[in-house]
Amino acid sequence: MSCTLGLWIGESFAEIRGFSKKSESESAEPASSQRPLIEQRWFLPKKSLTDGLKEALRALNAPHSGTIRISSSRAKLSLARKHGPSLAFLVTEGFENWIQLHSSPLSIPRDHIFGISERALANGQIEAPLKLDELEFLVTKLELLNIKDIAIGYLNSHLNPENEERTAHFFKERGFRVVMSHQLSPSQNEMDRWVRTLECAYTAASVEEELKSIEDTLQASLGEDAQDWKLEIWGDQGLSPLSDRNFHGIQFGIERALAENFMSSPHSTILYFGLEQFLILRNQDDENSDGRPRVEALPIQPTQKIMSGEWLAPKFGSGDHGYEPGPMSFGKSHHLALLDILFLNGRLSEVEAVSNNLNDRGRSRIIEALFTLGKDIPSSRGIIDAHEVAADLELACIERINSVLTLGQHSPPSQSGSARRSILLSGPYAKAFQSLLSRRRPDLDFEMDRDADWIQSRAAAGRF
Amino acid sequence: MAYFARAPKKSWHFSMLQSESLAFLLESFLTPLGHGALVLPEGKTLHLRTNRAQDIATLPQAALLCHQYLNLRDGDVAIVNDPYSVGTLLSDLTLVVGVRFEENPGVDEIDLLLAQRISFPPRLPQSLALDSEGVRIPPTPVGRIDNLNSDLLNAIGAHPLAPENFVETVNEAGLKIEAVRQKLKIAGTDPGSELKKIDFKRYLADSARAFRNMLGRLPLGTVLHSTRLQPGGELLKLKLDVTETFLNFDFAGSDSSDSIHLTDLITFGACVAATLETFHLNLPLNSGTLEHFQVSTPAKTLLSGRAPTGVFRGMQSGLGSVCNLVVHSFAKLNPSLRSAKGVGCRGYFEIEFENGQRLADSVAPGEGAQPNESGAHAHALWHPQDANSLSVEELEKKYPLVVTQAGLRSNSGGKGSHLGGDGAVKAYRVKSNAKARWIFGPLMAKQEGLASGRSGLSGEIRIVRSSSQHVDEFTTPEGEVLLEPGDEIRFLAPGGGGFGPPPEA
Repeated sequence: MSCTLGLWIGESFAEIRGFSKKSESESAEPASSQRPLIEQRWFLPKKSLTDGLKEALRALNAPHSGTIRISSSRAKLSLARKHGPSLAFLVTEGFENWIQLHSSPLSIPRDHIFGISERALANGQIEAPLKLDELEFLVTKLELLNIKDIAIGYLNSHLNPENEERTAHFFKERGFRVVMSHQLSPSQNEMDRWVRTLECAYTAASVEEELKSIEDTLQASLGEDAQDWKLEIWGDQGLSPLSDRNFHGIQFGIERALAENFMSSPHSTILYFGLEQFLILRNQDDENSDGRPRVEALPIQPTQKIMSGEWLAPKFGSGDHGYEPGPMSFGKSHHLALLDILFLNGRLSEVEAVSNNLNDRGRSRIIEALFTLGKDIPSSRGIIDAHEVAADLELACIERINSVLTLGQHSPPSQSGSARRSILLSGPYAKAFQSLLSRRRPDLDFEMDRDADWIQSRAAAGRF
Repeated sequence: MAYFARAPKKSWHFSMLQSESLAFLLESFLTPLGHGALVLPEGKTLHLRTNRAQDIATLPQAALLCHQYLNLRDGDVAIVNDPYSVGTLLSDLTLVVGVRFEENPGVDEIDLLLAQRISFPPRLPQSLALDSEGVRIPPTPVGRIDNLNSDLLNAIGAHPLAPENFVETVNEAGLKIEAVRQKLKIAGTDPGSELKKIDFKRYLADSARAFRNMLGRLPLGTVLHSTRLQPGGELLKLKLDVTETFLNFDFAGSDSSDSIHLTDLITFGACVAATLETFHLNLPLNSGTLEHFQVSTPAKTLLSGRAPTGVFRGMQSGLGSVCNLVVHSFAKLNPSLRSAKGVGCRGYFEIEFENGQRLADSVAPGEGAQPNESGAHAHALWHPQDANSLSVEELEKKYPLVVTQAGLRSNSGGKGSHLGGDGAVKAYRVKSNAKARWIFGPLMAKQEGLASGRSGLSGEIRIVRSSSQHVDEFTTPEGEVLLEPGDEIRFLAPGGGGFGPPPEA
């Protein structure tokens, strides 16, 4: 027997789901049509990724061959939270700070950007060839800074990559990991290329260790049988063999896996309430569409910040806290987040691997925090009712989601035919939102995905 | 329905959250437009999206003026750019379109005015007259949004001082604004949308209440402060009065000027922007918040310019001076707000090649340091960067030049316990004969430090002549110079002033 495992790796949770591999004639069916061989989810601060994976392989009584398909949030989180490995960025001399003058999603320290005296012109002619002795000098500097990863972004390299290629060859020979801008994008805008190059180099560096540990775990658990197992990873272009180490776009791997999963859904809109990310997927009906739904982040996220503000009352702030150290309901954090409100309102009791980590001591701390944030609210009774504030915040959260439903419509309700618009809800937290959304939008149908609870690993497993 | 009719009572907190949600929705509608406004036809500003001081009062007023003159119907489009009615620079064009939610034959009234501001690279004026700054457009109907009057647009675009790619840019903007108009119409008829049943009065009242609460936290009192636009230059005077319900800005006693002119609407926007910046306020810009600002700009001062004088220099340096005067006036009321903010405007330049092409660009100075942090690099606080500026590779493809440097001017910020930010530098080697011109205004002066902080390097134009390798240096606020093939010209913005004594002092 052969099997396919979908492994979703988040910031604080991991989830695996296994299916037996179907015959050729059945190969177009999605994983959801099968009963899973295994499904496990665990909280990473309590059980490591590799321990969880070992347990899953044991429970599965792993067959001789199979495929593990991985979608990982690690790269995206490293980018979003700006904590990841050190990276050097080599650019054409004279343009060392150019990227800093633009609103780049990455902030790279000024002393990690190095100007190299090289130049290709707009007609592709090399005006200044590369000087290798300059690079020799740089190697020492990078070693002192403990930098192993390099991104190269030379001007006009998309027209003539000679200098980029010579630089990359030089550093690869010395054991550095290198990403070149001309390979990633043909854009005639250096800023687009540079941002993509930095993202790619950064994500590759941030996931390498984690993915290596998965390879090692497989080897240790399966011994010689490991050679009959394939490892694949989701990127923005789909699945690719892990051994290729092609990490371009892996920060969008989860979105791609979900898009493929829902591409044949009859629903035009899917709201995804994952453990660590809330998304909206819209199936496109225009002729330019590739058939996959367009995926966007919802304007509210599971650990969305709650803060006081100019509106004189607790409100949702911009950005999210993430799970380190987690929402207050997990017992450690001092920062109030959306999940704390859902917890206080009793909506998280059925979510696997979440409900058993909720800490009841957190409840009184959440109430205290709401009381503190709400101290400016005028109250005729002289007392702030934290539960009422929590209920209001929950409704404000629904209003944010509704704003996306409002903005995403392509035709007036009167032209949409007589059928009611139906929206699919998926993800482990989806149940928490179903009744709230139905109450806010009685004119719409909110249908639950039958695989909502395990969609993260189901989507990672893909089609087979 | 249950959401809005949460009987038997609606909490105060709930109402504020609902208004905050609506502000979020309105902002989302305008996001694709960059700088945009939603205005009620009866005159109230519902929402304004911009990060530029000069748009704050002029953009909603442009929408209203067009409607007042042209009685816009659903889908009708008008354009305007006249600085002395509702515009800013002549290179900033406003598109206004009427929006009606429900299609109802025989009913003409619109529900909203939707306005978008398009910014073309500004033309450096050759004289002090407005006519040398571009084509002046009063409120002008340009047809229906799905069928713009191409004859009229082509006629404007053919004017020698019209912006490059005028017609194409207006047509592109028309597509964007139409997409937003359609979304508004859909949302306006969607039974579940807030826009369908919103109580605008309550929303504006909630915004006003939130703003008044903020006012209650400001240092109250009256302060007099003045500044000169440049050493020995025009005097700008401000009496700032902060009460629990209003912010009064009175510029009585300010000088007139031969070359620097602003308008009352621009001055209003400068006062609002400087206040929001000083107190890091994140409230929506609408009539509820803006009604708390009272700005007086007496006649015959540089703040109340009249046609036919130009506004380029006023917008370049006068706007930043007004903003800084407001910031420093607040700091007089509350010394903890002191900072070496600098001028906060951009240095503009253009290179005109012998083939007739014209490259227009700018450099930003470093920001002054503050008591608790260093100044930002290349940050023109009151003149944010145009997001549409060309990349290095696009410039080299389009113009006969090689960009030799673009980035920060290292160590140009003033020393201090907190450093002034570095200014920007842009340098070009031309491949054909060309003429370079610049208007740097106050950027040619050193940005002073505060509290024993050192000043930053002053602005400068430097030319390396290819024939002799001789270096010409220019520090005049405005200038013009001829370039030959191979010459390299460098535009260097000043660094910001430092704050506090440098560690070695």
